[in-house]
Amino acid sequence: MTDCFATVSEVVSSANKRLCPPLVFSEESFDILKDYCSVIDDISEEFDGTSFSAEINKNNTISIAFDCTDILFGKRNQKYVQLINRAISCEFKNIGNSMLEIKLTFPSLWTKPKP
Amino acid sequence: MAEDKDLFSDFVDYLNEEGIYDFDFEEFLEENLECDDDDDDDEVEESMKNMDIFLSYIDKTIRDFETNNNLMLNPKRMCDFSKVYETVKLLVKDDKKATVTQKINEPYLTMGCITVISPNIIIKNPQTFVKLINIADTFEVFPLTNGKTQMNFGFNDMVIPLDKTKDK
Repeated sequence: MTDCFATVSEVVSSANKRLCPPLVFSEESFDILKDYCSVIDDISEEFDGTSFSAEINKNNTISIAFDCTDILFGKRNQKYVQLINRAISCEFKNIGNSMLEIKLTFPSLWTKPKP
Repeated sequence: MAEDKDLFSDFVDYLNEEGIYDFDFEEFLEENLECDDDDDDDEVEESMKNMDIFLSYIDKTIRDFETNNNLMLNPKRMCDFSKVYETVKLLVKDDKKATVTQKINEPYLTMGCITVISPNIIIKNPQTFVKLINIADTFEVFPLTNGKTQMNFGFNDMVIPLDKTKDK
């Protein structure tokens, strides 16, 4: 299984060609997203995840989805909880075969150029 | 291993009281209550049997605690519980298919649980959602066989002893 950041990088690279210019790609935001991907890898590994997907939404926010059997957070899982805190929205969906899909949407990596 | 055994000394006492002498203590600790994919059927069965014994011990410990103490509702946790319940209802109010329920003192007096069930649970305010997760003791989400998704916020210490002295 490829890691989360590899999947995200592919989608971001493709969107970059479409959006820049006129928008400006934020390397800083991309580095932060890389950290988020690392946490998603950890969650996926701990809860038997098998795949990742990513998409750029109409408002240029980025959604990262991954599957897992279930999730159980206690007091020791603050890293995972803080990841949800950084998201704009999150979604928990039953995708069948006893699997759950978690989709986290994060802020856009692209900004309007400064005048 | 010696330290681990100290931690489980009450458990060992329980095994002796119950007359269970074939419990493989070292294997139980090493396996960490989990089965490996390459375990054969006998190993899985043994692991499940050990797990059942351990769960019976936990059950007895909690029942003893409930029986041997004068308990009262914990005002702080009751307040936390109500706050989370009302806020969860607000978070999913746009989802017409979502049901939000609460259970207190089940299966043990000390426990409480708030449950959300919906085919697709969407949270548009993660910051508030995270505050609720942090108030609860446990948070879990899992798929149900009917195609829906269940989310639980678990609470401990819903009741507390009136004093630390056991009534005998």
